[in-house]
Amino acid sequence: PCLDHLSRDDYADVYEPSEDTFLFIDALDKELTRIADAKPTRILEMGPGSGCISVHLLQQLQKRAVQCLPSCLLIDINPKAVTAALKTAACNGVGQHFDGLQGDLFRAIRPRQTFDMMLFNPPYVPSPAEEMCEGGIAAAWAGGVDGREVIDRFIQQAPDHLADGGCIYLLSERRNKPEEIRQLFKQKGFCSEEVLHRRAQNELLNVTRFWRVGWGESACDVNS
Amino acid sequence: MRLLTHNLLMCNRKQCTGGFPLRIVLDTDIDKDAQSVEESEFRPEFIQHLLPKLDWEALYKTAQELNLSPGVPPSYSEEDKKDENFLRAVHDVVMDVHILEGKLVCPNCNREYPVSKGIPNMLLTNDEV
Repeated sequence: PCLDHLSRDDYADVYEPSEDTFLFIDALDKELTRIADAKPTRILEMGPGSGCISVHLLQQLQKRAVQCLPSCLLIDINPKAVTAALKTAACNGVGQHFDGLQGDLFRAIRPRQTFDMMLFNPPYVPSPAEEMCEGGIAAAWAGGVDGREVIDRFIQQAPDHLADGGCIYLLSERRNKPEEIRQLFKQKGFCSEEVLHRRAQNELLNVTRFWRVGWGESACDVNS
Repeated sequence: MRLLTHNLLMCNRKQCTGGFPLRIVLDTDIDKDAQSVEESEFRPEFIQHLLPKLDWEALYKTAQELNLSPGVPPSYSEEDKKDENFLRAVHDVVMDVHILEGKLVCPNCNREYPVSKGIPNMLLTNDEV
């Protein structure tokens, strides 16, 4: 998407799209047919930063002339990110499908309120605890021990808010121990499949799709 | 914030349960637009998909409190789900009304969540989590 509305100053407070963002976008492109066929009504992007990921997805669905474009909710702990992401949506012609709020993961969402699809490019960089509490831009990348603290809380909360037949796209990095992440989801009754991975400098990034056992995928072996 | 989003939210203090629906109090400062209506494309199919996900009682109550006219009826039937006028009324309320300035007040514990420039702040203080 076009990001001309964001200046250098904005990137002091809002995460600037980087290799992880681009990998996520490429993963969604690869999944586009699947996503279009699933006809999601409500999408949630957690921690959108500049908003590139979900705005790109909506633009691609629009290009494919998908009849019923989904509505997308953005939740970020940083209000400047919510503002920037909503602006990105507006500047790229999909603003009417977006809404946003400032919050800590799913805390303010009522139980059993569900989304058909979730996108989360989390703060994944291993960091000392102090950095996690700094707020502002640090919240965009500081992930605590193993870079997993926010990811683990997300895994605890997200299943309650995923609609039947829905799926979650989550990015992680080698230091987050992606195998452990897949195990944690498995304990919650989820299958997983890596969509894309890429080496970027010293990081090995992946985007993985998670979905509930029993919802249409035959390739999932829950006992393995 | 659209009423579609408002319909999802609740008070999330650990000391409070059942804080829903949050009451919308608009900022009456005359220099500001506290509420706006932005027309968006009406897609009946989208609203049909959305209907089962909405808490209707809460939506009706909120629409009443905001004096939205014509607003939405207190309940709807199977027949209504195919009625374009009904779907249009739902669309107008959940998609086109934006809360810009004010606060969301918990009906249970009176905790106030500010809404600024259309973005509600649902974050809690350390002693509330």
